[in-house]
Amino acid sequence: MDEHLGERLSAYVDGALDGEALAAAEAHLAGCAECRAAAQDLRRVVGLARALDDRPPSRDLWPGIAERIGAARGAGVVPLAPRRRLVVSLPQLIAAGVALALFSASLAGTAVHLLGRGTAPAAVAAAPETALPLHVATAASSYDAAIDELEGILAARHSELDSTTIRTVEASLRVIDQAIAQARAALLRDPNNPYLNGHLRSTLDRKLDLLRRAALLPRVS
Amino acid sequence: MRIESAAGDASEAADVALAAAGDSQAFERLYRRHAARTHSLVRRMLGAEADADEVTQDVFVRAWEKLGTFRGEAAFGTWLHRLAVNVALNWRKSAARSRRRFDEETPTEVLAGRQDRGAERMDLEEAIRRLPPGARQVFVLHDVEGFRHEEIAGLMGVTEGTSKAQLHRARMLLRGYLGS
Repeated sequence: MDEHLGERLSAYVDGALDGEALAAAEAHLAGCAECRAAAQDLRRVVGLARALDDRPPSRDLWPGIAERIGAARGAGVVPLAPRRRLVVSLPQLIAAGVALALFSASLAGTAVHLLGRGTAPAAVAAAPETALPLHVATAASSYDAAIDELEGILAARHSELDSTTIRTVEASLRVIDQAIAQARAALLRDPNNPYLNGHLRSTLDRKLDLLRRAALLPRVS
Repeated sequence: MRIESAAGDASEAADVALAAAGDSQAFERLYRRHAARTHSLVRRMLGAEADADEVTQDVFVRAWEKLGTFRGEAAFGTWLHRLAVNVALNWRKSAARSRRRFDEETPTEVLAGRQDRGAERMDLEEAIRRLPPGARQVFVLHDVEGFRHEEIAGLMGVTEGTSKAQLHRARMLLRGYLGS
């Protein structure tokens, strides 16, 4: 194939030739049907490669990974190395427990209201037009209580946690808060939209989960 | 949706931070999010499903161990996939599973490729699997993953010229395998 373009054909297909090299390649291609056909086929191969879909492993690999990193099943925070040892004081554990209890209660109440299986309280007869629908407001109120509690714990522990981690968590919370605000605004316009209700709930869940984990992070030694 | 995308990025950054602090559940979420992409990369690099399972696990164990060094200059996915490339390449070397040197590949495999011309066409995944190791790795890194020859040369410890030659070789073999 020396009389043909050889490796320069791939460079041509990739657009990696310029100047004299490009002009020479184009001149050759103009008179060589074999190289033109090869170039067309190589473009097809490249196109197929770029369009490949990812496929998950045929079995769940996580259990093997969890075993190797020492993650006990169901445990959220595990000690990795001495510098990462979980150190949470008793008052903090108690406070976190209170918050988790509130969190669980709010989830239960929210599930009832947002999934439409419960009856909304009869109070709050004349809600202003700018307020959230009653079932959403009730759920949001439950979430807010748990969120306030966890934010308080996080604020109290601010100085003893890794500053980089805290900055990342705070940045994430700002984005999540923005998503919550947008979901609430959308619900004002379309209160019974199941997608929006589910989206708001899942976003609130995400915030709670993030706060809960952040509140339980190990102290920086 | 933009909101979901933004929230997803933020939650991934949070999971990275939490996992770096020792939160295995946050790390499991990262695994779930990146398992398919990582496994596909490793499987294509190695050309074997069973080996890919083992090496993918190695990648995530290494990621867990090295998360403290991740500073967020690049996206977590980019960092993870570069780590996966390194683990896959080192796995072949350290286990001496590749008995041929990079530049000494297998006339028999090339011949097999030629014999496939005119036979039943195969899909690209199967065709990639049948490539000689060096050509396969360069093809996957360049054409599937989007690495540049300069990067590939650094990762694989070869010259850019070798990378370009192997890429062309891989493409021409694939052309034959696919019955173009």
